[in-house]
Amino acid sequence: MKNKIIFLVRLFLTTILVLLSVVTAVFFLIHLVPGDPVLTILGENAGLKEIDGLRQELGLHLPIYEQWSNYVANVFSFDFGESFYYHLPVAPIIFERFLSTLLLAATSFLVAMSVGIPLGIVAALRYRQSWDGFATLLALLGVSVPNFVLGPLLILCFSVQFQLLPIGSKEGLMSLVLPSLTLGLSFAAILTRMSRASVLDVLNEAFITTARAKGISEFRVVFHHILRNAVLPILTTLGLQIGVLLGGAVITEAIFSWPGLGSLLVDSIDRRDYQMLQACVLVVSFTYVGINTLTDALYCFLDPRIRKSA
Amino acid sequence: MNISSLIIVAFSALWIVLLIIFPSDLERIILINLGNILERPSHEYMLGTDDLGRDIFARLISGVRLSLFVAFVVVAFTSIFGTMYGIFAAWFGGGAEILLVKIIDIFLAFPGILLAIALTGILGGGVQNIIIALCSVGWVGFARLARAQTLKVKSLDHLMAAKALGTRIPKVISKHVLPLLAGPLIVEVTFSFAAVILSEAGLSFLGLGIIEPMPSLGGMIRDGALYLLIAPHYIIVTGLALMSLVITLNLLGDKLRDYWDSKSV
Repeated sequence: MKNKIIFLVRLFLTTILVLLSVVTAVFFLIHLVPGDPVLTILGENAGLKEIDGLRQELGLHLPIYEQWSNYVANVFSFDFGESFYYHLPVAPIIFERFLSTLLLAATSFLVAMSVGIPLGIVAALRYRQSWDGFATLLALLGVSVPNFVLGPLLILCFSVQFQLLPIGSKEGLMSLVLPSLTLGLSFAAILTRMSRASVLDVLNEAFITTARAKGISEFRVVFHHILRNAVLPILTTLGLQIGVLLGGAVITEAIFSWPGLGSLLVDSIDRRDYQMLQACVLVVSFTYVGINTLTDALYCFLDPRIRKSA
Repeated sequence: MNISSLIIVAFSALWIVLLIIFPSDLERIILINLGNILERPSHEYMLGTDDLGRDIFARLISGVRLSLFVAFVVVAFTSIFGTMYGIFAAWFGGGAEILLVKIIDIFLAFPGILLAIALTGILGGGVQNIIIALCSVGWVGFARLARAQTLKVKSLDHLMAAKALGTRIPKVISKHVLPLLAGPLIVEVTFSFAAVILSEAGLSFLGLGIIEPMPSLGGMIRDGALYLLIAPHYIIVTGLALMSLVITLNLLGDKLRDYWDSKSV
């Protein structure tokens, strides 16, 4: 128990440190804008008064450490500034978009889990047989076909040829199907590879041979001995791979004009709405860091071996 | 020879031949000809024309060339810098290592392609800025790998012996550490080449990468998606071209990894 608490406290502190560094990195993004960011936002024909006004508003007239401390303080009180494009506070807009992205990510995750993990397990159990070849081929295609190719092809097939599913984002649950397939299938490929490798590792363990030698039913060997041990490695790598899902969401949202953070991010770049851009990057990264921290914490509870050695 | 080796050889040979025998013909790539937009494949235009009447085939070849160039520069930089970074961190250990690993963690806190999107969004598109963005994201993978591998081999007997004999550190690293890391690094280079090609195409697809009229696979796929109904062949051929490159590299990476795993056992 004591070990567990030490582990969790340490995890919590590291996470805070990482979040602080992420905010700092995002803070410096606006200083990477070539030339003067204020001029870039307002255009060359802006009047001096306007320029000074915006500079004050963005706080760019302050010394850099003061800008930084203001920014960090604001972010941690959920104040992301005002959008230059919407002339509204960024936070409520971001929050609404964030829910959309979360919905898309969650359904894609479900698609990926329900396709990828069973496929990977079957492939490993039928190692070097035709099922394995089939699954490996699908996984190879999945990691090699980017979502910006898969998405339009799915549209061509299901919306244009057979007219089964809507393309746009305003037709309720049905409009979730194609985006979640696009995002989920490429993630499923990663899961297939991971779970196949993980089950194969366990299959080589001596305790599996022992279990079989004891005459336990194959069903019990698979579900009780193999899968229970294979799940943990899948879980840990899953947390890291969520990044692929969140990053991929940006492109998938752009394809289907899904009203989430990703399409907002890309639009904000076009509009030079840097406050909004920074906030989008922050929120997606925070989500990612949060998920990874949760996975680490969960891991500590699920694997008795970790608890003892920590 | 099994199927995957066959695919690797066939696709590589195909692309090498195509890239050699079809030099960039600027006129066909850039010159707008509104008289024959979105034409189907014909004798004159092997893969038809795009929405501005330009030769899809010529643009495709030139897009692949540019894509390979970007990938080559990015992977060359990231692999060398990342490997040195990782070896340095593992070799010296202590406070320096903790700091260097923390820096890696910060980069890893940005999921997938997000940081590259933000960077090209801020810096603007163009070949140079894509290379900068993808380099600043890509080195981390090599650094982690090199650090983990160096930690593994650091206490091997012959390395201890070399150190005890007073061999200078640069020599120990170049003669004794690097050869031991070569296998995993070569595998990582192959996968990372594929990943960079995909990222560059993704950025160009979003309009953040290579700037028109320069052809890029991602940009062509975006245009193809716009004209999906009128000219489906446009997106299909560009998509297939991109896939063939990535599949070849991924298969090659798998092969190399298998080879290396069997050797290290």
